[in-house]
Amino acid sequence: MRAYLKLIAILFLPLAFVLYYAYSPVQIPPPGWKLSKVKAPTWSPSDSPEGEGIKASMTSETSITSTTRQISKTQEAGLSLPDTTAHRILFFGDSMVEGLLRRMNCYAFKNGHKMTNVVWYSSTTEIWANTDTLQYFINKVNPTFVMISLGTNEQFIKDPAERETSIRRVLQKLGDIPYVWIGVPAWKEDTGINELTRQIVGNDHYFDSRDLTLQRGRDRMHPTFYAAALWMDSVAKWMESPATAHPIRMSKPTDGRKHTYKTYALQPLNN
Amino acid sequence: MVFTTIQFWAAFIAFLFFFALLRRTKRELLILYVIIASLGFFYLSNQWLMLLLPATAIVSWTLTEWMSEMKGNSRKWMLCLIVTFDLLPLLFFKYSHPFSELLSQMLNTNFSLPSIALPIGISFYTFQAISYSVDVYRRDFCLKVTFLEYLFYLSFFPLLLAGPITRAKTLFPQIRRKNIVSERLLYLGLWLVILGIIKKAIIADYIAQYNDWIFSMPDAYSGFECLIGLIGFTMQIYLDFSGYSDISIGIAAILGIRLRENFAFPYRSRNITEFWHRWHISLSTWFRDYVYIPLGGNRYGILRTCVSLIITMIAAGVWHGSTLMFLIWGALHGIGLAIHKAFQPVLRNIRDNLLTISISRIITFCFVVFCWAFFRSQDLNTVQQLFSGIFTRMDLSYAAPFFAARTTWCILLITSILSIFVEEKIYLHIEAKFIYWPWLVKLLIFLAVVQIVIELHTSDIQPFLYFRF
Repeated sequence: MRAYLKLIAILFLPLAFVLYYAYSPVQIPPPGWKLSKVKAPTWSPSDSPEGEGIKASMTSETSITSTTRQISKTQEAGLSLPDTTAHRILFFGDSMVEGLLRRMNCYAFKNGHKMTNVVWYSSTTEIWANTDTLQYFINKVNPTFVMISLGTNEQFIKDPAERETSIRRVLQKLGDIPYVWIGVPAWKEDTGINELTRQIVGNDHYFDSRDLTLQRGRDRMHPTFYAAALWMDSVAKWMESPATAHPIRMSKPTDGRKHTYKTYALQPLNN
Repeated sequence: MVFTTIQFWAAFIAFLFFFALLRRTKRELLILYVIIASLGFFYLSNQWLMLLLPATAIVSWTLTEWMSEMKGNSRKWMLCLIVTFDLLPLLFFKYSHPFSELLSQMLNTNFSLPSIALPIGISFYTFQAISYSVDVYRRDFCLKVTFLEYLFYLSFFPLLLAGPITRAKTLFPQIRRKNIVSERLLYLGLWLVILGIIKKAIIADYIAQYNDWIFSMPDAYSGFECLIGLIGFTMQIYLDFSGYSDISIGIAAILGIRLRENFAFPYRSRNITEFWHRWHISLSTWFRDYVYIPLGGNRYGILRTCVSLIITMIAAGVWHGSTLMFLIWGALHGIGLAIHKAFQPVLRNIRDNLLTISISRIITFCFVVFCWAFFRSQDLNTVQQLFSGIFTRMDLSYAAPFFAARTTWCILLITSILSIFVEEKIYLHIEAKFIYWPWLVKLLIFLAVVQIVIELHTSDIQPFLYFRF
């Protein structure tokens, strides 16, 4: 028993430490470095001690300016009245959804929407167009609003025009469900997938993320969760504005609590 | 629930506390406790599909009990029935959808069965069930086993999700032994857990990110990047699965059950036969004992041996997945094994020296890397793009900027490659040292490893590659 207790202590103490450290506002800085924290439920950029620094490095002004610019651009096309009802939202797409959904879940909770998130890693418009996955989730969730984030894995394909059919097929599967398409926050210039998507779906359905300056994670491609949260803030602001074809209620959440909804993580095909 | 999540370890610590308390009580009570925990663990991974496991256990154990009393042909027919019954759920969940797709294409119809999620671990416990029945049939295993023990054997949670596939004769005697766990075995378990976490959560998960980009669109990268991505995957799959195996074996050791290793430095192999003696040992020996030997093994001449090898490896490939790529991967290994077998008399005459050993290791490694390209790629087009990148767009001037842009990635890859060349006795020496280090040192090492995992952690926990098989 004594040996087991010693072993349990070895396993338990580090776990207790990382969890305590994750929730604690204290930051332990070894010389020239800073100990990372394990992902903890209280993560919101608004009340996180790290949030301020990240906001600064992300140049949030840029994102807000760009959002405002998009809103004013599309306002010229005509105004829509905001829809204040609670929605069943299906949010699907590639790995970028993983970053966005955390903040989006907070928006959903605040505004009474119900989320179903589907993250299909390494997926493309072509994959979503050629499989039954989207119909499956539409049948399952019966969404009243759809959010799409796709294109990350097609930014550097040789001939983006080839994907036109795929994008149209994805939209065809949605039928007349209102939707928004969140463009890729490109980390370097793409070969045209963003522009092609914008042209097909139209400015009132398309949130152009290319102008955003986001702090990237260690892979230098995906935004950090904090940056993704601020990105989502920009998207939400636009989704509520009359610049979109179907504005919905997207009041900014004030508490920093994490809210979880059903999330499906699909692995890359045949890996 | 994955072994590298905080949730798992929190649950495991609670489980371990009560396990330690119950250890000195009745053996049946302890077995029941582990079974309940295992089924709970399985439920978290598969929800209600976990009921398949006790259902399989009930039918398979009952039929095997009947079979053990039978003689002659009826015994053989009963074994066929048991194996068929064990395989049915696996075949249904794994192959019904692709088979219906294929049939639909052949008949030019639009009929297709829905795609069903494969219950995690089904392949592994099915193989354990089959091996138990076959061993009883062959009278290789003669112990009388109770249903509770059998359910423990099939559901033991460290082995449930992705093996190692454990034989009846390894596990049952240990279940029956009086549960006296030495301090040495406990810390050996802890050592293996730490080693597994380093391999899986620190190195494999980190290098996986880059490999995934390469295999998702090889055309977008230079030949150098494609080659590095392919080598990266070669190390990733080894570290991922051997890391998982180490954690499994480590947890089993903590619970007092000693299992044999599943990987023995496979990339040091000097030929492809040796590679399969060192890679995923529990699976390769399973295929050897229950597919290759029944097919004739090496008893009927070289031609029959080669055919048996190719069929066995194709079966192993198809077991990994129902796509053409896994079939090609299996066939390539089968052909490699057959060629090695055919040329063995000639190869035996070559003297061992540093040059011949190095050349044979390099050739074997290159062949294995080549085969991994098929294993990992989505389709033949991806393989073609990958190799056309490697052979037509190779430019070594990418090396310096690549290293500058992905320093940590390169360091982890190089370290993992160099670890292949470290002598086994050095590993054993470190292991022995760790076991006898003071408690506080072990605690600090574990804490450091956990913190490094958090530091290098970039996205959500990566699933173990072998969970999907």
